[in-house]
Amino acid sequence: MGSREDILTKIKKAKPAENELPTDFSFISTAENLLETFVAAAQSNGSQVTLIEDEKEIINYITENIASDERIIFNIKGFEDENEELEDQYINDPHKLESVDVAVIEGSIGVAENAAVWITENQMKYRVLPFITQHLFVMLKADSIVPLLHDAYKITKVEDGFSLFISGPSKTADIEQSLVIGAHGARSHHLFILK
Amino acid sequence: MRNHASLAEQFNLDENRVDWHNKTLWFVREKRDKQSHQVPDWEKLREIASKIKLNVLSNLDTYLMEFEKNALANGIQIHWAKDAEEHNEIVLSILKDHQVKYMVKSKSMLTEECHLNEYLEKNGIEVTDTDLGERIVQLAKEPPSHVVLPCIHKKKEEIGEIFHKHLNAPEGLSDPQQLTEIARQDLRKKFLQSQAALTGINFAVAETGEFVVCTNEGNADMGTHLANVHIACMGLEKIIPKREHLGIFLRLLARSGTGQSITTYSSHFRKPRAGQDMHIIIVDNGRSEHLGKEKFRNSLKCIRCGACFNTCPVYRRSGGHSYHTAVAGPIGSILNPIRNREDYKDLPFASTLCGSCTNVCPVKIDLHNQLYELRQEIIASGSGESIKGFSMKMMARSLSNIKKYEKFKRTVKWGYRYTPFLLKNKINPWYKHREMPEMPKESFKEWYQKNISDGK
Repeated sequence: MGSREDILTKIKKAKPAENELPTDFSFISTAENLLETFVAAAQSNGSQVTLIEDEKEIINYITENIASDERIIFNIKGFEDENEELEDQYINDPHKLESVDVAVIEGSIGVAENAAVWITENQMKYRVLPFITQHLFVMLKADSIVPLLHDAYKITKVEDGFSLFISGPSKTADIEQSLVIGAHGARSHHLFILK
Repeated sequence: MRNHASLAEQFNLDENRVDWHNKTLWFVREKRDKQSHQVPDWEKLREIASKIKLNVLSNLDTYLMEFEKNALANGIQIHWAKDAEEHNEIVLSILKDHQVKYMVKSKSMLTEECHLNEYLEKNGIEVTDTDLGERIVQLAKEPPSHVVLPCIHKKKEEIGEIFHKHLNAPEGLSDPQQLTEIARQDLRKKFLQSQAALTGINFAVAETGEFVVCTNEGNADMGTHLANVHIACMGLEKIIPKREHLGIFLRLLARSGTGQSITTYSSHFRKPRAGQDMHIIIVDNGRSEHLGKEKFRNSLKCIRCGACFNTCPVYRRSGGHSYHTAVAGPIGSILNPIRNREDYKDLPFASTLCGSCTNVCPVKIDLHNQLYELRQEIIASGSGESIKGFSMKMMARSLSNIKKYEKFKRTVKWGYRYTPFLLKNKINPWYKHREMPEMPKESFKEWYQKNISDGK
């Protein structure tokens, strides 16, 4: 504990007089229509967007567009029987998710200004799933879109062990600033917005 | 001597590369402008971010303790390191406890500051950097040249060669898409085999004991959610008071750094996964001393977005390696000499003091003022460059006395007319990369006396 006490004592001596914490976090949103703004932001982040009326449309989309031998994990309530047999061993060993081609998960809050979607540990079930899968499908209810990031943080809950905002497919611009989609995480990001 | 000027001179030997480097970074700076102009209350965001960070500096010890308490309650283990050495030892001891041989690492400028990779490799641990840019410089055995764009100094053909040499890529490859795919496949193997993953921390939240890691590639998450041990390292200034403050900082961070509205992944780690060991190392390494320096403490607000690099006319034309340190650019030119005056006293002079860095800083650090102040301190302590000291003294002598000045002016004018080579030569540092001005026939004073004092 030597260093801890040392550091804290040094800080105590060195720190400046009180600077007050600001309290006004009201910011202007330019979004006239939340859904439209969200969709435009998502597309500019490199995501595909499909507006749906019913969750079943995701299953139809998969049947039509994804080869039947692809490995799909469906984490949406009421659709568990669409899954291959999922065993608890995946929780113990996330490496077993290496061969997942498509993961379908639900997001809880969408942010119109940047198309970031808040996803909790419960929703992804396995922490590594949204990253290790080749393609990520995210379902989001249109009425859960808020204007700004601040609005999202007002309603996020903190009890989860891991949660995150995802705003598109994995990307990099490390080579001469050329944008490449598909770095280490999901190669594609498909948003299904439930009206 | 290895200093900014001499290293920049090496970089400047290849003029085409300098132009290319300059333009590439200016492109990022322009993306930042576009993004920031789309946020109507951008200035308010900056102001609030700055105030939150000032409040953090005033309460740093209490916030750190609050964070520690909450993180411990969440099942995260907390370590404190007074310096780089202790930090490295802690990492090694955790790895040894778990008999780890391979570790994947996501980008962390703090571990660069501590030279962790070299230390671990000496102790028999294989470390793989997983951010694409960091992986490239790691294979090239170079340090990163930018905090956000680690291999911005490398051309795609050079990266192709590195991948050919180290990753069995076909010869002559230079397409970024293909190169990225090769790195993806190679690193996926590393992610799957690593027993431990190390990440940096962008923001640690005192209120909840959680920490946030931002990436576009997803490399931090690929590492930590597969490995049984997660080590997260943070400089002690990375703390923020409340979760709601993340809304401010996440809106500013990516917009300022790369011109994106937000990074692809903003991961909030609060508890270890079932069966996982999670550690946080809180590192001082000179920061608490920095906090006590009133004129410079403002620079501890830095969130490492890299905006000041991208806009700096000196950085863009001298390259990150000329700063011979982990954090280069304008902010590095403050943080490094404060930590180690002797080794980095050259850096505050690597600036035009134009103020562009201050203008783009999302947390309103008065970078150019601090650079100016640091110069004063370095000169006053007698450790400035002797040639500059000499010419400044000569200048002061001639400018402080009108007669001496007139005499000096006439001598220079006469000398310049008949022996221009005395100034236009390699010995005169001012002549480097500059044309000397044409000498006017008469000085302003002569013109004034002739024309105005006559009453014309």
